[in-house]
Amino acid sequence: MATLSSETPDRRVQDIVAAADQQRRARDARRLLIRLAPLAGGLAVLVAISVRLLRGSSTISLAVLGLLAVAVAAIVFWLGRRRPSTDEIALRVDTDAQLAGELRSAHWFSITGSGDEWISYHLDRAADRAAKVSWRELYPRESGTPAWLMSGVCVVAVVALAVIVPQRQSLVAAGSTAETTTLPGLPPELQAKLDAMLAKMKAGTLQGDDATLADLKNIAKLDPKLQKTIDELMKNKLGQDAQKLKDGKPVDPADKERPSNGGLPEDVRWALEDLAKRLANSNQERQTNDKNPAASDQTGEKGMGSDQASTQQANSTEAQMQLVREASSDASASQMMMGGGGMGGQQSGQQGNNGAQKGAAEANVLAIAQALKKETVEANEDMLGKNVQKEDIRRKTEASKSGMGFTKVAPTATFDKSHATAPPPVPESRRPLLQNYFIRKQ
Amino acid sequence: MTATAVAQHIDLFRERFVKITQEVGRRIVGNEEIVSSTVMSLLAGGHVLLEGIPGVGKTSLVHTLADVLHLKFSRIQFTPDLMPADIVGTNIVQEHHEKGGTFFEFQPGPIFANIVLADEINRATPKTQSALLEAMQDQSVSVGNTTYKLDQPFLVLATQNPLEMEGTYPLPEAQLDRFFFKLKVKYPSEESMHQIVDRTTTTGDISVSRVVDGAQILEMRHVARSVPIAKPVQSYAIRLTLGTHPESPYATPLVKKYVRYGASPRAAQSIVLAGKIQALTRGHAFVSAEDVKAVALPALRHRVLLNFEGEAEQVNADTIVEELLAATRADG
Repeated sequence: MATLSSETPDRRVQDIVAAADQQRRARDARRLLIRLAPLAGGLAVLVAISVRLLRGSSTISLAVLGLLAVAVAAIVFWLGRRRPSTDEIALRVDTDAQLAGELRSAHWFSITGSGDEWISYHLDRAADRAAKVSWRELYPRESGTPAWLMSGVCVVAVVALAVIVPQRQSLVAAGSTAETTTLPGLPPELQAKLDAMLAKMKAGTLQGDDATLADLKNIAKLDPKLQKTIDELMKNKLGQDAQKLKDGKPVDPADKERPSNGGLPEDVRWALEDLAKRLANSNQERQTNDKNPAASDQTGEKGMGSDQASTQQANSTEAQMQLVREASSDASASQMMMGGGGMGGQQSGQQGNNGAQKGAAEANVLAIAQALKKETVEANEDMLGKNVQKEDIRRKTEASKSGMGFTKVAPTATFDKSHATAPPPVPESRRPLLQNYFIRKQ
Repeated sequence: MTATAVAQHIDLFRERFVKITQEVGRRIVGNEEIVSSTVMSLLAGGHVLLEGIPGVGKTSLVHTLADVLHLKFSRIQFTPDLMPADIVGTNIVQEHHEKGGTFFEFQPGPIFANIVLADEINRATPKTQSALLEAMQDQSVSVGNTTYKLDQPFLVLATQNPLEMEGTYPLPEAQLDRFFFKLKVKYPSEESMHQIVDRTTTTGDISVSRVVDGAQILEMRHVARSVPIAKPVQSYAIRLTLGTHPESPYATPLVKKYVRYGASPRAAQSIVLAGKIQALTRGHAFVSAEDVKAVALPALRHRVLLNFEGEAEQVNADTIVEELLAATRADG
């Protein structure tokens, strides 16, 4: 308690009131905290459970827990902060300490100030009396052990739900997939790879290229049951993305890193693949017909140059097909791949003596692929009211058809002044009171 | 004045106050609150209106107080034929024995005393009442062209009987307002009745000693006025006074319904001054809201004027003030 004898009495009184008020509000804040902490913990647990059930990210639970903790701490800090004392505060503290109004009165005089001896005496005495009060005992702090225990349990539960349970789930999922998708005759390493990919797909964390997906599809063709499982997973993924687009929410950025054609309808994807194959075949035929003369001219090593050129062309074709597939999924990915494709074209042009023609062909392929991709993406993102204009359907007013009407009814006169009656006579019981009124009593 | 001097003043005040009330209590059984309130009025320089049925000790209280205070005491029995000159005195013709001839000499009336008992004040005519009330307010009387100052301390204790209203002249509101307190002397309890009977029907003489004189009373008055009062507490007293007015925002439902006029600023003065004395009697150098609350009822009850509805329904002013005290917050 701030009771320094060197301070003036008015300063002492103000300090005592402020400190006592802080003690009081700290007690109240602690009481509030004891009530709020379990509630906040319970809320965090509910959020964590909901996040788990909805297969959301575990960081949401932890973030909610952190936010609730910060909110509770902010409330407690705000309530428990030290603030300048007022007459109202002084009165409350005075009443709590049963000082019979002395502290309140002294507090007022300490603020207004006066050189009167009576006031100085009053301030001195009030400060001494208030200093003897044990404010800690007057405003005891509750322990609230059960509440703290409950809150701790809630925090542990949230952390467990956010961190431990997902790990176990992924392990269990991987184990169950391995049990159910065993294919006869499949090599063990391929079986393991297949199981891992299926587990990732179910968990929604599969991040792979088209080659991976193609592998998966090729493997899936071996078993109708597996084919059905993969198709369902793909449909679920497509359904989720479509729902997000319908709700106007952006598709999870992580999804963009998932299988490149996962977000496209089947027919569009097939059309794209087919187009890419055709373009590649026509390009290959053209290069084959030319017999690669530029290569032999430029390098002087016909056989070697021809082989290298054909190898580079094959690689380039593969790269182009890959580019088309990737370009169909994402604009940014497409941009990146365009650059890669260009480099590939230059290299093949330098090494395979057919740079100009091949570069032009690749540019055509990329342009078409990009245009198709753009079209596909836009078609996929068509949203009513966003980028699709729909004809307004105006509601027809029914005002002209309304059958309601209003008829003014004049009130009937019920009072006639000419027949007004005299007021009722004074009751006998009230008559003496009326008479007594004029003889006033003291 | 140092802090020690202040403490001594407070202790001395308290000691004297306790002595007075204890000495009066030797003769007056019960009614401790009435005794202390009467002494409080004396120390505040106010006057008291005592109301009670006959035989409850109103006149005895005043007699005893005069004996204890070592002050000049006079009693005026108010009757319908009492004249103002019977109270204030008159000029009478005197003869010069040596020089011969006559001259007018002022013969002071019973008002020239320190403690005046105006018994059954409502039986005198308004003209006579006003003569007394003028002296109460101005602490002086005018006879002819001469004004005579009254000796200090000057205290009027008026009594009135609430039952016998036939042939009485109720005090006007303006004159009621001049009384510091209106005290209601209650009928004694069974135990008090035993003590009264024992004391008054035996041979034992109940004599009281003089514990305080007039100069000490004046000194106590000065000390009482030195007590500081914080603005919030004073504000509480003022809000209580304003609350007796039906159009005031502090008025309670009963006030709005039954009160015609509320208390005057004199009421606030009375409350604050009495609160200071109340604080000193508790040994405090400050006035608290509790002190104000303790003295508000006797200071306000005779200043609340009921309207017709209140009179017809015989509403008690005490009920109205008590509701006001309960409704008005000290921290408002």
